[in-house]
Amino acid sequence: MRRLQQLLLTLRAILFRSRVEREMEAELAAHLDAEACDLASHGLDPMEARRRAAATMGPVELIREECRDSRGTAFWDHFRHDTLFGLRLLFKNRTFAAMALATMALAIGSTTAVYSVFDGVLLRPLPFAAPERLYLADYLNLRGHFDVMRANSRLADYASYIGLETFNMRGSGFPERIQGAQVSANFFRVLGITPQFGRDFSSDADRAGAAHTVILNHAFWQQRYGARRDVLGQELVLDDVSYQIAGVMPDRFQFPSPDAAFWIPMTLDPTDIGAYWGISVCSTIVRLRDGVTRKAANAELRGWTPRVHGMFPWRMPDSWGVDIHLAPLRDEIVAGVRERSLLLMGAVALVLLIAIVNVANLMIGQTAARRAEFALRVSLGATPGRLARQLLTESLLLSVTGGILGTLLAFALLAMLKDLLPADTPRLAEVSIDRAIILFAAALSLGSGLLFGMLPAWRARAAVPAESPRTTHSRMGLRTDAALVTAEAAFATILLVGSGLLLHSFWTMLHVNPGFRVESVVTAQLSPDRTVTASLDKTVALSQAVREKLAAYPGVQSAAAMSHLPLAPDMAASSCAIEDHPRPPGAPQYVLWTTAVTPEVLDTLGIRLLQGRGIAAADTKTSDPVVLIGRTMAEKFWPNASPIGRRVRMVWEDRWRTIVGVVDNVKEYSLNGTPDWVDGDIYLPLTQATATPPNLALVARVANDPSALEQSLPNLTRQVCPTCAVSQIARMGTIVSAAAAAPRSLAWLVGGFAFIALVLAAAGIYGVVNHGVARRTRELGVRLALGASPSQVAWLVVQSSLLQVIAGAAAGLAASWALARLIASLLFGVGRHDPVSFLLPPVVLVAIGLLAGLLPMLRAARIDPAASLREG
Amino acid sequence: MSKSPTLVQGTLTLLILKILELEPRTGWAISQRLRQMSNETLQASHGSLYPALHKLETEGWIRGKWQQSNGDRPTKIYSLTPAGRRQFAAEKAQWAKLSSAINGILESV
Repeated sequence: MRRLQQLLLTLRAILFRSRVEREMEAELAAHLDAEACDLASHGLDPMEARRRAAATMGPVELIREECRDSRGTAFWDHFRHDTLFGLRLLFKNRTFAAMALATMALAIGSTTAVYSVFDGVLLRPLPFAAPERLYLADYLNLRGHFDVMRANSRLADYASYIGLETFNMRGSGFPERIQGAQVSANFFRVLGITPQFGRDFSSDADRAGAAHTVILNHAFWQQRYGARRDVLGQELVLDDVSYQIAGVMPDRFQFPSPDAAFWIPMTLDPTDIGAYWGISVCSTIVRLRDGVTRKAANAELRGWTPRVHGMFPWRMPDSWGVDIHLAPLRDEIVAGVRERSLLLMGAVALVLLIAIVNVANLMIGQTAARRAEFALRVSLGATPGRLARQLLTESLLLSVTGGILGTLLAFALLAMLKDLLPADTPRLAEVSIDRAIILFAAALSLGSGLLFGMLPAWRARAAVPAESPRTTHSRMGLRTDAALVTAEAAFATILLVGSGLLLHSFWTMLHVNPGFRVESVVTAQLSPDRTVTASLDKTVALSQAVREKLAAYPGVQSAAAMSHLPLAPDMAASSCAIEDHPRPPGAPQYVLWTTAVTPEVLDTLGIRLLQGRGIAAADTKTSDPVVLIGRTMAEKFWPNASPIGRRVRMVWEDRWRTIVGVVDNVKEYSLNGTPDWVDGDIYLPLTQATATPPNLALVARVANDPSALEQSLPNLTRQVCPTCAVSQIARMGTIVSAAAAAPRSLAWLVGGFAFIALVLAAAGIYGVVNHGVARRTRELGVRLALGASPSQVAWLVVQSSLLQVIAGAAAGLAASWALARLIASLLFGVGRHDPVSFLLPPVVLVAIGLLAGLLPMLRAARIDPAASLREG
Repeated sequence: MSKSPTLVQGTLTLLILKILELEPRTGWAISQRLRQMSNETLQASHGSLYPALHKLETEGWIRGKWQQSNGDRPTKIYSLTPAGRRQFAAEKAQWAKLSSAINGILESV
């Protein structure tokens, strides 16, 4: 009760300060009245009574001050006073205020925006119930294996999904391509989420013969169905199969991808041996039951591996399943972007540090100009602590205002950032600036205010009244200036080296030879309906018809079809045996990147034939099976002999395929090259494909402007196949460029931060040199009067700053040398100690330093010695 | 606080609490009572009473209430809170102990 009263009174004294003051005045006045009245009633003259009353009262101003003190709000009163004073000061020095505020707003804004991404992608728990209990079973990706674990686990619930797949959606008119995910029937239940309305899949929805149901993505439902509630029970035809709409998921549910327009149950049919045990596509999510540790669930999962091994309808390698383990689901989802996010966070943190140094610099310039004021205050009784506090309040005022502006800016910057980041960044849609992020920005503002306020505040403590107001600099002041410039140059160097490495690497990637023609090639994806894809013959016939249609189009020089494009996201690895290279028993076979093509592909895409022959029209379903291999594979397996005539075999087939040709390397997998686990590239005739490709990639080389063909493509294919969907019409250049999307966005973002850093560093150096000239006007005047030439004087003012820049750049280079290790894995074709990236930044910084010092240098050279001596 | 040399540190608090124990009063009435009770020996300047009152109020031992009596200016009446009552008892006991101890020392010499 008493505590509460205390708190209320203190709060009241802070919040209703003027009212409390008025009451105090009234109370003191009432006392005077009463005393005067009393004295008058004893016969004193009213005027005399008043005088006497005032005399017994004591010094009113002192009483007021003591009353304020006894309220316990002196702290706040000082704060208020300092804030008002600071505001007046900022208003007076508008250039300084504008520069400091702009710097802080930019720095806090970008840090907040990047942090919101960092936090939203890497740190936040997944938006599911009890997300800490969700794991991904790494390397568990066979439906059969999943089915066994789901049925038998006592410690955890297993669910499964197959990432995005594309379907032909039949509406009115021509079919459209649409992406969706196949999931196990218990998928939503295991994630702990229910449809916003409608119902979840029934528990046997993933069994063969179950009714076909579909659950819609919220955004898709809004766009496609106008958010109508009566969609439940309606039909959605996907790849010629009719699904009944069972429900709509809530807005925030976007797993495994925001691009999944719907979810349909996967089929778990043990009698379909190929699909059940053979095709490794699904991902398995594991939710630990109450009180179960990851270790226990892991042990259970691994304990089942030998038993599952025995269930396969064929013999699996002995090493199968040894890598299976549980990994936290969130870490798995964001694994690919962890390094990039950390790098961006580091880059923006450096920008923030430079900004803080800059503002500290500006503040020091300001306080130096106010030395006379401080000396006066100290001689009037201000304690050094009080002065320091005033300066800290002023810097906090700056940083908080800058922080508010920065937070507003962060909203705009985040929108930009979302556009700049690669579209496949996981969880990007979840990222937003919410209360937690705003709190972060607030903490950041206060923290940086304290940081850049500390130096000037510390230096203000040294203000002594004995020091004449004319003394304008101290040794310590020079030392701090030097340290600030050096630090700024060091931070900027680190950013410049980092962005240099990334930009150089990106440039190298853009100029890498992909092994195929990029210019004047138009591509598209053709998705036939199931009546076609059910038979390889029909698909081949379709490909020929479409190819001929394309080839006949004016300006088309060559056209071809293939199972998938180079650099496409499709998974095209096959397990193969290679003649002359038997694997030890139990070891897995070789993995070869496999593309099925029509004969014209080499010509259309300009892939060079190095040995033997290409694929010919004579290679048909019934002729001897043939295959082309890539150069690297030829060199790896037959280094001193010709591979022509050797054979390879798909592990699930009996027939061997004869190598008839070697082609030059093509960047099939990514511009970075082929991953370790792929042993080579092979090309089969489409007529002899191992399975019917669900889609065909069309490629056409044109002599003229490709846009005419791009526009006519849908019509041309419909003339041949009205039930085929055409999508992803794009030029090859666009596809190659998209393959470099992640390095591009990283290079641009870090480059952008480096640019901001450079501008800030230039402003900082300008400030220090300028301040130095102002401080040394008298000294420089003397030098000029004694015969120094203007150019000598100009050099003098910039000399020390330049040395500091060089020292900072050296320190920054040393730090970069060590830090480069951290981004080595993000680099391509560029060593982490790439000389260009390391040599350029110091040169740029020194140039910028000179440029920034140019104006003050000119001013120094133009000092009129006589005038400066008179003024001094 | 501007202290009169005749007022030992802390005694003003004790006296204010004592005066308010009997009945709620205004600041001026407290100062009047202070003078009467001590036969004018305790000569605190009247003004110094107010910081002390505000301090006691902030501590939660007394509570000030603005009252308007017919047509006059509103005046602030202080009264003792239950916490103040306990504080008074404690301080009184403390004072008794202290003064008897000092008396004992003075008499023994």
